Amino acid sequence: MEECPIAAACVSVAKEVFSIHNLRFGQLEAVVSAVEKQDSMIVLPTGAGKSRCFQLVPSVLKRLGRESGLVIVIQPLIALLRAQVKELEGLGLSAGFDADVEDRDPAILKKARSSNLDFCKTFTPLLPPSPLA
Amino acid sequence: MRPARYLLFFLSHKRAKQTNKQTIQQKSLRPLVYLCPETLMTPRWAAFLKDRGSAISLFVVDEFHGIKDLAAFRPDYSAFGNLRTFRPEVPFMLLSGTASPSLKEHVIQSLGLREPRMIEDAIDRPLLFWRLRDSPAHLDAPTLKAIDNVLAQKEGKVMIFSKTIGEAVRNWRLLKRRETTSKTALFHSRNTDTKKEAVIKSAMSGECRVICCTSALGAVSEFPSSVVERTWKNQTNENQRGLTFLPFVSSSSMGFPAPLQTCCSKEGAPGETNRKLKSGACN
Repeated sequence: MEECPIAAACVSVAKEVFSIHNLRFGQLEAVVSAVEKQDSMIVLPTGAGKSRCFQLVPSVLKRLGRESGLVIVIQPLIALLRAQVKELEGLGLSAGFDADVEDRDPAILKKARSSNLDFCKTFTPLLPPSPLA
Repeated sequence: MRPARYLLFFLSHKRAKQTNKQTIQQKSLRPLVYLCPETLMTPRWAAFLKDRGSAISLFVVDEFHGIKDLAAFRPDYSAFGNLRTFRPEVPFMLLSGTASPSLKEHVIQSLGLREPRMIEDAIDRPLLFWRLRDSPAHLDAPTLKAIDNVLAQKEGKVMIFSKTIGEAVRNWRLLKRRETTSKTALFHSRNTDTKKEAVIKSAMSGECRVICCTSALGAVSEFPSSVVERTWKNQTNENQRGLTFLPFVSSSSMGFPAPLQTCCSKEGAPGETNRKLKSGACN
């Protein structure tokens, strides 16, 4: 895999952009999958470097001379989302986030609140601004 | 305050709006764009996917176990199958730290993944020592003793989850008055972002070793050597089954939610870890 141009680009981007000298388990495979347009499912423990798998992709595509489109990352926790963007900006990479749901239909929560209070209680982890949590 | 905003986690409305403005006012979109599931399903992003979707290289779904676990409450999280319909040529990269075989199969089918490359390693968090205890809403003498015993251990930390902010504040006040727990922090959703960040930094640095919190604090696994107290009794409830978003506040008939079972080392199965702590100074 070391001789593969994608792998070589990945190793060099990791070193130059992220100061990573040794890619961790799975990172190379994940980047190669993305560049080759193959779906991938990555289950690794916390701290194993899962986020780097996709953060490397835009720079690797650019290094390979391919058109680098958007990498859209769906992240459920805004705290993590913000932290990652901040970290990437610190590394000189361009990243942004959009967490605005202003034009969403608010009916979901309204329904939850009006129809079933237990439902709201059960899911208090998802309702931080409420008095419950 | 708009109801839908309740769905967002951890960030004040003001801050979310400000950062969003900064992002979408960029003349050219940035190569990495982070979205929460609800945002992706907004009309402006739907229009983007339809009109300019060819400019997308990769869809990444972080914490993909939520596609099943959160489907009941965050339906947008399980609607990503539509992305494949919109842009079948764009590959998916799914990430999780905890996923059972059945959950993986469910996600592969619901998103219509095409023979995904599976990249997996043992979910082993050897630094995480924990024990789940149910304790009274008001911390009683045995629980306080157990907390002191944990703190007597090197790097031992305690998180006390309460069901409401009021209970968390009461516990925090009680602990602050005690000599051994005077540096107790308080974390709940009403804290400002600055305050939340300060509490997390303090806990990470070891300056603060006890946190009274509500379920707003979800990143338990980031704090090694922790003991989790839960100040309400474990209840088996159909509605709670499968809610693995915050494993330490969800329940199961076994007392140990599934994600916790998978985060112990092979040598220390849940029961064994539990015994290890019990055999120490915890009780």
